[in-house]
Amino acid sequence: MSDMKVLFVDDSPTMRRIIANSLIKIGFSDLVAAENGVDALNKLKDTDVDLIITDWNMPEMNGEKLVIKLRENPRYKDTPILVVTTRGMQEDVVAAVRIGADGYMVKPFSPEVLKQKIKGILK
Amino acid sequence: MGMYGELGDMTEILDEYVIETNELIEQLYQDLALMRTQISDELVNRIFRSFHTIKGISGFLSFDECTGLAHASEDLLNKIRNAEMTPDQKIIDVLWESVDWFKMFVGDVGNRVEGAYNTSPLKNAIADLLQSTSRPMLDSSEATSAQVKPKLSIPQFAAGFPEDLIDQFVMDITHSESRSQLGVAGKKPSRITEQKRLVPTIRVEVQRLDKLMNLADELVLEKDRLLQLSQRLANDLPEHPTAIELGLLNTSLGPMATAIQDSVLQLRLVPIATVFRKFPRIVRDMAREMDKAIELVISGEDTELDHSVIKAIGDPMIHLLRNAIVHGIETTESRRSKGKSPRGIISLDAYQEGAQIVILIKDDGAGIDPAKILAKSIEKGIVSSHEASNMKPQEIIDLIFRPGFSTTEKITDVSGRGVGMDIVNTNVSELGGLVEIESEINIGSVFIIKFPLRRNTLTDSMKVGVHE
Ligand SMILES: [Mg+2]
Repeated sequence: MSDMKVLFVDDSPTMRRIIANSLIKIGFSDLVAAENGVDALNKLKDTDVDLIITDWNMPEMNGEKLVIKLRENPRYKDTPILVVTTRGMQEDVVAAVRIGADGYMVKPFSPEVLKQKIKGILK
Repeated sequence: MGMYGELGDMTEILDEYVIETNELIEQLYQDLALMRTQISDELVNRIFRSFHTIKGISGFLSFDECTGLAHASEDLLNKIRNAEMTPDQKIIDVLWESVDWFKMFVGDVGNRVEGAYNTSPLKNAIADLLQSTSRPMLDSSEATSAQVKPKLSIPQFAAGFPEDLIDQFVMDITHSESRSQLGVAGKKPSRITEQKRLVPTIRVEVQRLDKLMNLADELVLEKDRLLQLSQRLANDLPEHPTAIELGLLNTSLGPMATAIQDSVLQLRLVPIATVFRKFPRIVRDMAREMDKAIELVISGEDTELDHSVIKAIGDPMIHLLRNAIVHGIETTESRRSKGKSPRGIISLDAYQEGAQIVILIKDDGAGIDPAKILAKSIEKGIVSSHEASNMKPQEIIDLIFRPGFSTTEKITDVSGRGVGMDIVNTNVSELGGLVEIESEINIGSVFIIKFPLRRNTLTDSMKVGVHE
């Protein structure tokens, strides 16, 4: 799993750093960051990824629209997607799963939890 | 639950945190200042998102005071977002003070003292504001037994949960969350709605209910088989004591199984208030955009429907409301010239009628002119002039549900979405319901949506388990 390329999307620079550090800690090294849905779709134009981790609440294009767009695209219709949400936002989680996300993670999370969640959606 | 030390270089993260939080604070000051003079969804969403981001990143650094205060501020913004609250000076002041607090906190985050930053006064002030929007406005003599009757409430989300979500939704026994007053701005909230707030409820995720419902359906089927078997046995061995006892058992088991099935269906009912509560704001914004004076009157918000209907009914209803605002209610001048009150009235109502739930969307506007509809339909080739000559007025009005029909003469911002009445009709029929129209020129129109009280549960249960 450590040779996988991961795209992570979050509008918060702090969150991007936290996610990057966590991913590195659990053994990933091939990482691509994006600031929002639009940025993510742009990045995906020139690169293929094996896993996508996305925030839900973002300006420009939020996580919901991004997941919908990805699932509409034959190239990304089966790519594992992990959605990052906040405690108390259960409706978001449900919405995410309904539109085709494979799993979710609640902030704050430890690298270990991230690892388990990724394992869970890859099997 | 500190993630400290697990995330690699913490100083880097802390630096990033300070920079970003300061940026968000500046943005918040700007946006809150703006909110004193104007309000838009975009602005409210941006303010919400700023607090939301502060909450999210503070969690990783175990800055619990921050997480808590940001969360409380989010609650206020949620109310504003759902039009359950208008951001007056008091509310903006409190939000402003929260931002001041964050500024102070982030300012000495490097040498902060654990527990030295008290957020309670602010959190209490927010709690008071939240409370004041949902204070019951009834005199005590009107309290009814509804207050003591525990009731199950279902969160308004639908099936499709992955297994591990179940851990996430801890059953949380609590007082029902504010069912939000539905009155239009400035109106008294509904009494019944307010009372419901006091009823203890329990939140259950829909998947569990679906599972329970499938089991109950199975149980009823098996009960019927058992009944058949025991009748056969009674035929073969009429005097056998076991056959007699089995027959007796069936007479009590049968009704019990059916009662379980009924109770489960009841659990899936959600008050239509969850849909209606969005409308005051939508109507207000659309009316403003169309430059029309419109009052929205809501009743029957406690009428309950199956959660799957509740989830899907919002869009068709918004379309009908939009239709009433754009095509139904006339401009103020036009209303005056007709001798009508300058302010148009749109009323929403929902009630149970026998085995049906009825939803009404009524306006006192221009009404639908059959002659216009007919001309348009012929022009669009929906009917031939030959067919038209035999049509009754009601049949003509029903033509607006035909695909390809749209009376929009000029494309406006609010209505020009290209969505026709046929879509409304299709959406409603997919849910097992139907739409009817009654209309009279210059008196107004009523759109009547009807649903069977009991839904065909098979289609629902088939949807469960898609995500496994
Ligand atoms: Mg975000």
